[in-house]
Amino acid sequence: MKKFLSYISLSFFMTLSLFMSGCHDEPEYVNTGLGNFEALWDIIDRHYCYLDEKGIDWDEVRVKYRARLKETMTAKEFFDILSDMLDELQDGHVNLISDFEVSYYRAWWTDYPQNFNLRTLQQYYLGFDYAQVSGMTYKIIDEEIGYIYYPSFASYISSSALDNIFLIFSDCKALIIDIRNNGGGLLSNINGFVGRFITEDFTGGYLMHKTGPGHNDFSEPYPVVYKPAPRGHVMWEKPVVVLTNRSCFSSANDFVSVMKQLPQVKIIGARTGGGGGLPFTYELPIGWSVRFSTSPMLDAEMKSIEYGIDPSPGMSCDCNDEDLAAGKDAILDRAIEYCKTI
Amino acid sequence: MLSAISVASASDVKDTIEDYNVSRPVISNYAIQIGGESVIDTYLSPLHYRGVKTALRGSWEKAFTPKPEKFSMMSEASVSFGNYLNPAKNRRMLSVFARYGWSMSRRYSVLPGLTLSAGGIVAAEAGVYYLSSNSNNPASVKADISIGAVGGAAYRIDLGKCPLVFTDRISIPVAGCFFTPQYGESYYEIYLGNRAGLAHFGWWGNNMKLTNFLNCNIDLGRTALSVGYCFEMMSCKANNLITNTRAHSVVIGVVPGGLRLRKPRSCPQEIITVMP
Repeated sequence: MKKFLSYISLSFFMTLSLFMSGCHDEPEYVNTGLGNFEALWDIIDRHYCYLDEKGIDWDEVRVKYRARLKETMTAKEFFDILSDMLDELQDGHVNLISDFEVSYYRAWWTDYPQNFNLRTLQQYYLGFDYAQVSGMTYKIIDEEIGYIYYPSFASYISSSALDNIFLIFSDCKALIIDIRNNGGGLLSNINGFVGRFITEDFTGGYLMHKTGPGHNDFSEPYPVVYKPAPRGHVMWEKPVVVLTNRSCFSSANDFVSVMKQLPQVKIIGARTGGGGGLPFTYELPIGWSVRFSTSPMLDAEMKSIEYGIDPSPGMSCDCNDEDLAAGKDAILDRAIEYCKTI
Repeated sequence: MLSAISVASASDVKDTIEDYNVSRPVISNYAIQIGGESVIDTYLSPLHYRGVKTALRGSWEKAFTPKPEKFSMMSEASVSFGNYLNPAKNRRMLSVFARYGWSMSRRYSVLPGLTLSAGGIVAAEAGVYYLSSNSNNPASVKADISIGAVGGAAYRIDLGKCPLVFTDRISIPVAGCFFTPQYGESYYEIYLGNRAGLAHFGWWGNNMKLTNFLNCNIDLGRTALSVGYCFEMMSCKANNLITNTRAHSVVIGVVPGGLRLRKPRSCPQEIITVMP
């Protein structure tokens, strides 16, 4: 009996010790003003991918904004302090999300000319007579130029829709893809377009991710390979012009980075807005979420695309706001002129 | 779980002519499990989520030749669903998991009415935690295959004419292989083909699990009722990501055919069961 009880006790304590040794330390955040501040600072410190690249002294930011915390604050006041701290990252992919407001760093486009007016396009260039499918607006303009306006990469690009559009455009000498004011969407939609302009696999860029909490803990760049559209789909082998403005962000920015490498493509307009970091979302004890860049994307030359993509050499162009209001789109005019001279 | 008395029935297995006189029936237990669980998965969130976990469980156990008096084997399967909230109660996380295990145990009759068992188990589990409000990290996929140890005890008492059998079963993976994405790796990048660093050798230092079933089996005649408590824990750390879970549940099951501790007069065969 004694031997049996000893056996049982030994088994129990062995199991308990295994149980205790197997528990891994968890992050500890408390739901106080200071606790939420420290949680936000810590989450960005561990996961944000551009701290060193942008030369941000995140420790200094912590001291600066911690000094603004008060014993008693309204939720709005507290939200403003945290969102001001996040604005130090100067990243349009960074948002603090509460149940009453979403913070957003706007300076990446507000400090620049807009270079686009949708009404001008629809009225003076498309004559309110255009077709729409799969998130795209399209029409043949000037009898020989195929024009597609694609305002968001969140819209899925249907293969059959593109086939039909390219068939309609089959007698056109060039194609204009206008992605001005396209704020991004799904990276997976990029291949929907790119695949129609290539005949073999090609590496359009690279993707990295963080491997640990250190500011420089990154994986090796992984190639993002774009494949030609499957056999049976309509390909486009004629010249292509992509129109851009500062509001081309995130996936639209990446699309421009990829297309710029193709020999038959010209980028006309203004430098894009950047947004080269794939964002993740985490949360604070108070219940607010924070979204920010965690995986940096690189172009084919392994340069960061966070700061935007320039137009093709000699193709930089801006629109005058007064001219736009009067019905003249200088960027689109430049593209049409280029297509006619090909 | 060493769960119930066997019943000589159509599920009896007769392997040889010599086995004709010996019945090794399959003991089946079908149970529903409901309880509370706490989950933290730092790929999705740095906070603990707490909520309700429900599961459907099945186990099938029988004595094992060539020494059925001493050996038994068990298959067990479960499907579980979890519904959790964050501390602020404004974000919901869901989970779904499926598990299968096969074990073999050696039984020891140490005292009248008391049987201990020890053995090994091979198990596979796969599932996902899903947090829809996240952007490019909405899901944390879990998958692992392991070999481990199982141990148990079964003790019978009689309350008048009603036999009660108390059982306890613990299973702990010892070694295996499990999947986890890298620290900040999106499933988009995995979809593109980057498979580096996803599979890990699992041991107690980086993937600790423990499951403990404590049960009371009540003989109701043709059916047995099984009522018990289940404790499950998991603690995993790999690629600088941590997943810790703790679940406490009530388990209620039925054993078709019931508990029968005495051989029926009409049954000519010797019954070898897994019960004390």
